This record gives sequence, structure tokens and C-alpha cells, in this order.
Amino acid sequence: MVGLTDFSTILTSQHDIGLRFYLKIQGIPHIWIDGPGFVGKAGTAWTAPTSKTSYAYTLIPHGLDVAAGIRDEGSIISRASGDSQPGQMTIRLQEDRAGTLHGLMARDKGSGNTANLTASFGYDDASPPSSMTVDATAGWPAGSPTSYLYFGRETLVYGSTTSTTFGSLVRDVFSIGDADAKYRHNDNIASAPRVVADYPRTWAGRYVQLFAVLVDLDGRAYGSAFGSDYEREIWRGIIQGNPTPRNDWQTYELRCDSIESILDTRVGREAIKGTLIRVPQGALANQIGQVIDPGGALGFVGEVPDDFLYSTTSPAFWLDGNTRYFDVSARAWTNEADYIAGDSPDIAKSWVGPDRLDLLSSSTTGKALSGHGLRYEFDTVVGASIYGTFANVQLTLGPGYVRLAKGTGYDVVKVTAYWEAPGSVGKLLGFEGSQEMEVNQYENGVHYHPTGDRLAAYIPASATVPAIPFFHAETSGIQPDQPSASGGFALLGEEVIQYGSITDLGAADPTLAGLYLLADVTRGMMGTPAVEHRITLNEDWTAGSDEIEITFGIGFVDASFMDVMMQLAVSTGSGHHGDWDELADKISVPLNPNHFDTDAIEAIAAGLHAGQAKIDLFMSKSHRLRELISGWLRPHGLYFAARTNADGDFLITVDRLVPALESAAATAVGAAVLDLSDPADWVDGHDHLINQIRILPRWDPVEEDNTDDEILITDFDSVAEFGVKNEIEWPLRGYRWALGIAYDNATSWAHRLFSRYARPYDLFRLHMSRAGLDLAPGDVVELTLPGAPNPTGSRGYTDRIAVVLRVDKRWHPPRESGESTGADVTIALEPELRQSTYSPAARVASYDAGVPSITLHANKYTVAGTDADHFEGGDVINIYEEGDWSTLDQRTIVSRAGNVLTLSATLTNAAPVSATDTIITSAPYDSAQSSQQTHAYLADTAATLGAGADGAFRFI
Amino acid sequence: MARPVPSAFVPIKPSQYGPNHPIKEGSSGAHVGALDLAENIHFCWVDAVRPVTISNLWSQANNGWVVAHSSMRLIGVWRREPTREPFVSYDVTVLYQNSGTTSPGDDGTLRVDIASDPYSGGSGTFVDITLSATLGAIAGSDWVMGTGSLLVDPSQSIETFRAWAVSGSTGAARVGSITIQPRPVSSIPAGVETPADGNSHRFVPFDAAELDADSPWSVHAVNTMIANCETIRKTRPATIISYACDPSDAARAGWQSDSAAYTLIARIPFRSGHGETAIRWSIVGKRDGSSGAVRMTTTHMSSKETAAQEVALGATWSSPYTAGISDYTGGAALTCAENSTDEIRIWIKGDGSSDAYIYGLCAWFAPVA
Repeated sequence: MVGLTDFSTILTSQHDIGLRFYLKIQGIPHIWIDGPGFVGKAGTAWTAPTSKTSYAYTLIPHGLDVAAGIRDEGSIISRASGDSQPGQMTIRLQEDRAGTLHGLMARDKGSGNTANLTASFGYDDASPPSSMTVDATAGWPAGSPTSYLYFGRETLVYGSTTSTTFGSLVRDVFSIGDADAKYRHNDNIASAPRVVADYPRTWAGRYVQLFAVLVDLDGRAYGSAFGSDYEREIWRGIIQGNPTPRNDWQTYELRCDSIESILDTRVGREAIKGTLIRVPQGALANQIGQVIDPGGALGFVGEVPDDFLYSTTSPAFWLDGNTRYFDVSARAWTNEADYIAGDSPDIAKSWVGPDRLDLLSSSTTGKALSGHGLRYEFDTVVGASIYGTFANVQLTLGPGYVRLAKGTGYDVVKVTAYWEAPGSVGKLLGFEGSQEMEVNQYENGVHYHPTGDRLAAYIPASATVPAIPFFHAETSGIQPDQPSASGGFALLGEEVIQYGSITDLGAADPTLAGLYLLADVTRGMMGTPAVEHRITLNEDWTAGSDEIEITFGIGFVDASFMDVMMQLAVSTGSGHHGDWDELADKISVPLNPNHFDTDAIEAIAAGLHAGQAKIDLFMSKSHRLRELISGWLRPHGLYFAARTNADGDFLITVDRLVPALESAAATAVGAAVLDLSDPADWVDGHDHLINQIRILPRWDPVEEDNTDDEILITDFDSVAEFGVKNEIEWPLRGYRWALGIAYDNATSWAHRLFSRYARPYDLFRLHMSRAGLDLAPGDVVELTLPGAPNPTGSRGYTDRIAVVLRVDKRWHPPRESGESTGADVTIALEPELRQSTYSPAARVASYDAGVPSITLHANKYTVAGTDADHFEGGDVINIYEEGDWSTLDQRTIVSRAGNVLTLSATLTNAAPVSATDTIITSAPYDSAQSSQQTHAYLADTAATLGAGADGAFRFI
Repeated sequence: MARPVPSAFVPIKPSQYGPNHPIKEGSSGAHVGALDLAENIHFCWVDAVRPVTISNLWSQANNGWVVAHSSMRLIGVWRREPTREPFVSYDVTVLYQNSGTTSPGDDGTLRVDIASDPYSGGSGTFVDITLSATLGAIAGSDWVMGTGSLLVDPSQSIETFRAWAVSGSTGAARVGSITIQPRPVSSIPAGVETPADGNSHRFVPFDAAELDADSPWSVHAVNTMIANCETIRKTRPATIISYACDPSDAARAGWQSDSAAYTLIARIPFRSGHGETAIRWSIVGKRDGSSGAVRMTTTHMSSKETAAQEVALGATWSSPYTAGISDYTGGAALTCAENSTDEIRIWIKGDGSSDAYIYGLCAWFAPVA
């Protein structure tokens, strides 16, 4: 990490400096320098840095060819879409006398050694593999601290070998970290990176880091070593394709896209689908939707025997809490005459409600039974209860019937079966309602047949179901991408469910091969209704219902879209790539989290309104990550781009498309930094007007698309004047707002956009000196440009606030081009509205009356920097006990040193100060100095500020 | 300058604070400024957000409504946290009937006092509400409302509230229900108020001048507005139940059991809010036999296998029943998950032959940390 301030200050303020450059490539133990090795101001040559403290880079002086210039074209940020088009850079590497480059670029090196991985090799996570197993290590150098092994784009050091293994491994060297790879071995499927070598075979996809180093006129570096405060990572990109030799046969070109191009990837998994049980038999029968005869032929010739399903060859009646119970009551009269007379029965007993009979007394969750097994359980459990209470009375299950029979003891027996009771087995058997059965002294037994459809499976619409059995769908074939067995989300028909695990029932019982169980299921997620599923059977034992498909996917419930996008980007399934590495394996090709400015992203995420940031999302298809991200960011006025951050690292970040804030105008752009021979090109901004937004606010998790609901928001004033210009559409992914809330949010977002883009604005392309190298999109500048025509009919701009849209940086001009180091900066001059940040405040920690001075708490109102950073000498401040503004001291800050502010006079009202309650804020508008007046103030009822009736600040 | 409190909450159009609108002070009457936001927050602090401390309905079963007697009789005991800053008193409201016909001779009295400073010979912290002899009958739906004010003792972290009643010379008085709720205050002193809930929350009022025209729209002002709303939310937790019955008559006990095994006798559903993970409680009860106890838990605690709270009931039972009061400070608060629907489950057991009784039960959310 390097500091920006020193580099920045020297770069923009000192003229007697130069810039030198060096390049690093992921996993490659070399550093290419644009000239001779760096020498510090004391005359000491820089030593080569190390990776992981032990593995030294090899410096290649004159290896980086900058003759063609180093130019960062800069990301182009679309203000309408929130998308960022990555910049590109071509980097040239120069051969040295030893032919290092030619050898390095040999991606199929004749003298090199390779080996095929023969076993899986995992990430460098909490339990990394201790060795790498290959087919043979013959010919490879013995293990040593310089024995490098190239595994895809990851480089390892191996310290030992056997005939088939590399051991004593050091993972991920010459990297920014978290660039470890993984190999999944499968004898039947090709997988990569399968081949390892002692030379780099893969170049495409490696990241490159380009650094600029400040040197004086003698070429001596300001810093004394690599990584000092006087250098900055000015660009990071991804190599596209293989390095290409140029016509001189001595240099190679690396065509690179800026690092944010890694977001051009698809995320999501398309796992094997499943279906609910269709017929009460095995996997093959369920695939064809028809029971199969025991001989193995598909289907039956002629009529299926009625007792077939009660044989031992139909092992897929699934009984669980929905189908395992039998509610029944029985009464018996010893004498028929008593029965006829209406007397009470001589004996009666009920097994209903909590006392109902459980056909699965031996299983606590669920169980698959053959028809024979179901019949056995019914007869055993029911028989034991009824026969045990009513001597010689039997209620038994037969092929397509139940039979009530009696022996001696009672003249009349009446039984009521409550087939529709919750959890009743009757649904599977086709029995309906409450069924009265009676047998009298003239009958041995009576058969009762079902009146409804027999079911292959029954799943009620209750909110929770203990388990849902399913088969995998035939059309899924043999794919390695199984649904996550440790829990996830799925679409059951048109209902989103969440499950805790998947159990392979066939693993424990071969007769159930192909049958799986979703357990710990939560029904009706993401606003989808829980639906009852009655899978009927036809008379010919074919499936009578449409196939109910189970589509597995990824789900997020009440999750911030910022977390969702980062989880989709970096998850490895191993959880070792930071806080966002939470999703299962194979959601995407995991992106390196170290390419993201996580602090900045977290800060943006923390500032989002929870109600507008939380989404419910189910994904069973793959999506382009870039489109997901930009779709979520743009309504919030956010965008992603890559840039050098405050620590000097070139990273992907998320930033706000904020208007030109008065308080943020830190760079004056005037004659001193402009190329006065051609200071600026004027570009008509009329074509960039946006005055109509079509918002699709609601997300259908089943279709994985927006519903037809839409909200059209129009800036009618703008349309009346300019016509409809650039109508844009915002399909909001994952939101399930009520339309009223959607309208409120959409209106707020749209008007924020209209306030900036519904009126004509001008674009200037400024030609700037080195000062432009320190600018980035989103920065605010104060433009002073005499003579330029302006919209008011006069000429010239003075301290006009403008926001930077793009910076095209010429870090090193092409040789003999006549250009100079500098930047072309595109700025937008939007309609002038006073918008700014809050007026700063701080809490006083202590007071020294002797100076007099106050010491501020560091971070009561800030996250980065300190609260004191927002005050400076000359500021006029109010000092008071919070809650009692009227009793205050107004003082001027004489000077600031760190958190200590020296005051113009001792305190009277606020002394002694309280370390918890004493506050400082800016003085009222007319009392404050001009730099303080760039922050927000409260206007009067006429919307003016101060005695001069300045314009009011506006909400953003 | 003042810290203004409006007489009622002022509805404010959010759009007036949306993009492109000027950032104004709030004295125009159009309610489009910063002071309007601050005044509404002031109103919430002193008036709008006042969770009921006690709300009780005496049962009509078992000898009807509480009938007052010839001498003051304790008809209800509740123990719970008082609601303190900024409130200085409670509104006590009762509905009663009185069959007496002559006032003031037949007038009864409903007295509420607090155990930390009990009524004693006309002194102490108490309120007497006259049960006027106006109806001439105790019947039907004719109820009269009586009101009074009871001072808050801010030094108490938990307080025992007691309701006493007595009838007049002739006739009978019945108390149907009572509500004790913090009384709104109408002004806010300068400076920071720190509610005494142990969580260091602060309420910082706005001086009108702080949000006057030309004043800075400071990060401190906005942070303070948000923090004040959080303070109000976190320090004014809701009451889940505040039940009491006449403790002098076993027949009127809310719940009882002689079973030696715990009997589930009450399930009280509730919905927790953001950050609400603890429920404080108190029990008023006794046993007749050799042993008796009450057991309390939540389904959240059950799912986490957290031990239930158990209270051994005592045998000593005489007015003012101090020995029969237990609360969470002698054990621990019940726990629940935030933002969830749950229920308090209460069991009671005796010794297998003699009853154990519950005469009072209070449960309320602990202030959010």
C-alpha cells in the first residue's frame, strides 16, 4: 500500500520531476522496469522485492518498453446506465540479452516439464492440500525454494517431490493474494487446470499491475525501495489472449483490459432439475410416468393387476407427516336389538387428533414404503389398535379397498374413517371424506373402495413440510452440477422454497435408487404462495397429473444487493476469500476479492437506505454479473469503475454519481493547468438529456424477470421544451415492493436524475497538464476559462463548478509524438444548483484555556480521515453545549495541527467544555468564511441565504 | 431560545425534502424546514411515544368485579420498570361503578401508591381517585371514568405499583379497569437528557436558533435527529402483559394448580421489534402447600435449549404481599429473537395436593441496548 498524498502533491505541484514505470504480472517472478534499475536519492540501488517474504522477484531493467507511450484511456461511465466501459492498454515488454522474455513466453516450452493432475487439488483454504498428485514428476527439478510450479494462473513453490507428488507447497506466490486455484478431478470429464508445468503456460486472464515512480531530474527515485509513498499503481488490467511478438521479434505485446473487465462473467448455476414423485415406483418409472412390470418392460401389456401396487416391487409410496396418520373411531354393540333400539354402543373408542394412529411409529420423519410395506404397516398398526380393543374386529387394507370384518363377540360394528384429517394416509389411497363402515351379524366382512383419485404423492400447502421427496429429471442427464446438498433454494412448480439439506435415499437403501429428499423445507418464500400438490394416478397406473418440476438455484432473502453482487463475484465455496465468500462452489469463476476496494464498497453499502437496498432474489439461470451490478446500482445513482484509491491501489470500486458539490471542488482548473494553445473542446450536451424514465419495479422470482407493472416518470417541463429525450428503463431486480412504495422510491430516484439531466448541460473536453493525472471520474473541479462562450450570452467561466466524467491519462507520451505528460479531462457543466455536503461538525475532547485551543475527538462524524480535517485556519466556528445552541462562543480558528484547533480567544460561555457534550459547527452563513459557505446552510422562507440573499442549497 | 414542542404531531410531506427542494429553516408554517422535523421529534419524546405502563382488567368471574370494602383493600399489585425521563408523572385512569347515592358520603376511593414511597397517613407518593356515588347501582354497562396523577420516582429502577379501593358509607364500589401511563410533558429543558436505562442513550433537544435561517445544516444536526429517534425507540419498550387480581382472595387468583408437575397455564403471544431480545418480568404469587413454583420461557429459549426461569413461590401471604413478589432481577430476563413472533409460556405447579397461585404477572421488553 502506498500513500497518495505525497505522490499527488509532488506530481501536481513540482515541475522538476519525471516519471518512471515498472510492471508486475500475476504469478510471474519478474519485474519489468522501463529503464535501468531504480536508484534512490542517496544513490542506493533498489533491491528486488519479495513475495511472501522469501521469494525474490527478478528485476528486468529496460524490460518495459514505453516508447509507444503509456496511456490510460480511462473508464467511460454511462450516466444513464450506471455502467462502466473498461479502458484498454497495450503493454510492450522488451527482450534482454539473456533471452529471458523469449523463454518466459514459450507457452509450450520444449525444455520444460509438465505433469497431469490425477487427483483433485483444493484451494488454499483452512484445510489446504498438503501435496499435489500427478501422473509423474520424472524430469522435474528437485524441490527447492526456487522450484516454481505453474498451476493455471497460480504459481506455487514446491519443496519436495515423490514420483507422483509435489510436496512442501507454498501457495499463491508473486500475487496480491487470494489468487489460488482449484482442480476437480473426474475421470469422465475434462477439467482445468489439469496440466501443471515448471513454466507459465497460461497468460490470458493474468492481471498486470503498472506502477509509476516519481524521479527527479537526474532520474533518481524519490523513494528508496519498491512500495514507497512516492509511487502509485496507476493501472491494473487483465491480459487478453496470449502475448504476441511484434515485428521486431524482440518485443512482446500484452493487450490488456482494465481490471473491471473481470465483471464480464456469468454467475449462477444451472443444476440438475427434479420432479415430484409421479408414480409410486422407482426412478425409471417416474421418468416415463408409468409403472413398470416386475419383468422390466416399460409399461404393462393389458390391464395392470389391481393388486400390483401392493406388491413388494413398488417402493415409492412416501409417508411423512402429510400422509402417515389414520384417524378412526369405532363402536360395537353386542346385541343387534340394542343397536336397532338406538342404545349406546357397548364399547366405543376413537383414535383421532392427538391420539390418531401413526403408520410410521418406527420413523420420526418419513419413509418410503412399497405397496406391500404400506399394507403391512396399516394392518399392523390399525389391527393392533382395533383388534386389541374390539375383540375379533379387523380393519385391513387390501388391493384397492379397506375391509371391515368381525368374528364373534359383537352383532354390529361401526367404524368411521376420517380420511381427510390432516396427515391422513387416505389421500394416497384415494379415500375421501369421513367414511362410515358397518358390519353386522349377517356378514363376515365388508369391502369399501376408494371414491377419489389415487395419489402418487401428496404435499399440502402448509407453510412447513418436513420433507419433500423427488427424483431428478431425466433430461438433466449426467452432469457434475448437482444442487447444493447442504441447503439452498428451489422452485417447486411456481413456488419458491428453501431447504436445509438433500438426502440421497438410495445411498442407504438400493431399492430407492434415484429418490432424494429435500429436508427442512420452508414453503412459500419470496411472496410466492405455497401450493398443494396432489399427484394423481390414472386407472392404468400412469401419471395423471402434470409433471411438477423442481428447479434448483441460488436464493437471497432480505439481502442487500451490494452483498449479493459481491457474494456472486467472489464466492469459492470454501469461505476463505473474505467476508463475502459465502456461496457454494461453482456459482461463478470466483473473482479475486483483492481486486475490489472493499472498504469503499462497504462504506457505500452502509449508506444505502435499507428499504431500498434489500432484495429477494432467486436465480436458477446464469446472468451476466456486469448487468446485474449496473442494474442494481443505477437507480441509486451509483456506478462501478476502477481507479487508484486513497491508498494508491488501482481497484474496482463503487461510487456515487453525485452532482457537482460546492464543498467537493478541490481542484482549480485554469490557465495554470490547461494547455492554452487548445484548452478545451466544447461538446453539445443536448443529446444527453434524460427526461423520461420507465421503471419496472416488481420482480417475479418464478419467471426471474420483471412483472408487467411499470411506472413511467416524466419531467414534463423538460419534455415540453425539448421533447422526450433518451427515455431510459430501469428494471429493478429482486424488489417486491407494494406499488405505492415502489412509486415513492421511483419518484425520488427519478427526480434526482432529472434535477441533473433533464436540462441542457455542456460537456468540455479539457486538455490538462500533469494536474489532470490526479483527477478521477466523479471529482469536482472549479473551472476558470476566460473567453469561452457560455450560455448566459457573455464569455468566460469563473470558478464554475463542474464534475469530471472521464480522464484520459497520458502517463508517458509516445516518443517523438510532440505530446506531453498530462490528461484529457471530460467535464460536465450542469445546471447551476447549489448542492453540497453537510456542514462539518466535531466534538470537543478537551480545552486548553492557556493557548487557547481545543482538541477534537477524531471520528465522531467521519469514517475516513478525521473530523478535524474538515476545519481549517480562518474558519469561524460556534462552540456550544449540544442542546443549548443559544449559549455559545463564536471563535475563529487561528490554526490547526492534527486534532488541535488554536482559537482566536478564550472561551467564556462554553467553558469548561464537556468531553461528551461540547460541539463545534460552522458559524452562521454571513459570519463564516467563504470556504465554509460551500457547505450546506439553512435558507430562510424565501429560500435565500445571508444578507446578500444568496441562493439556497438544495436537497440532492 | 426555546426548544419548541408542537401541540400535535405535524404531518410532513416527504417530497418537500426530496431532490431539488431548497433546504430551509422551519418557521414558515408550511412545514418544509429543518425545525419542523426537529419539533416532531420533540413531540415524540414528550408525548407521542408513551407505552402504557400498566393496563389491567379485573375479572368478573368469581364474585364479580372487585367490590370495595369498608377499609382500604389491596386489589392489585404490579411490579415493573417505571418509565422515567422526561416524564415526571403518570396518568392514572380507572373505570368504576358505585351504587351509593349520596355524595360525598357514599363516595369511594381508588388509591394507587408505590412501594418505594408508600402511602402513610396522607404522605407518600400516591394518588386518590374519588369513586363518586353517582350511578346508584352496580350493573349494566354504565361505567364512570376517574382520573388522577401519580408522581414518577426517577430513582427507582423497578417499582411496585399498588391499587387499593374502599367504598363509601353505603353502597358498594367496583373497579373495572385501570390504566397507568406516563403523562405528557409540555416543555423540554436545555441540554442532554440521558434515560436511566443503563444503555447511555441520549436525547439532545434542538434549540430553535440552531435551526434558524443562515445556521449551518450540519452533520451534527442530522446525526442528532436520527440518534434522537433511535433513543425514543430504544428507551420506550412496550408492555406485553400487566395483569393483577385481588390478592386477598384465593378464589380470584388468575391461575392456580395443585399438580405436582408443571401445568402450562398461559401462553402470551408477542412480536418483538428491532433489537428487542430480552423480556423482563415479575410474578406475584403464593403457595398453600409445602411447595409451589412458576416456570417461564419463550419458544425462542426452548429452541436454543436455554433454561427456563423458575420462581419458587412462598407461603407468606399478607397485605401488602411484598414477600410474594419476584422479578427478573432475582433471576434473569427471558430472551427472544428480534423482529419475530413468539410467545411467553408459563407453567405453575403445587405440591400435588395444595394449590399454588399467580395473582399478578407483568412482562415488558427490556430497553434496547
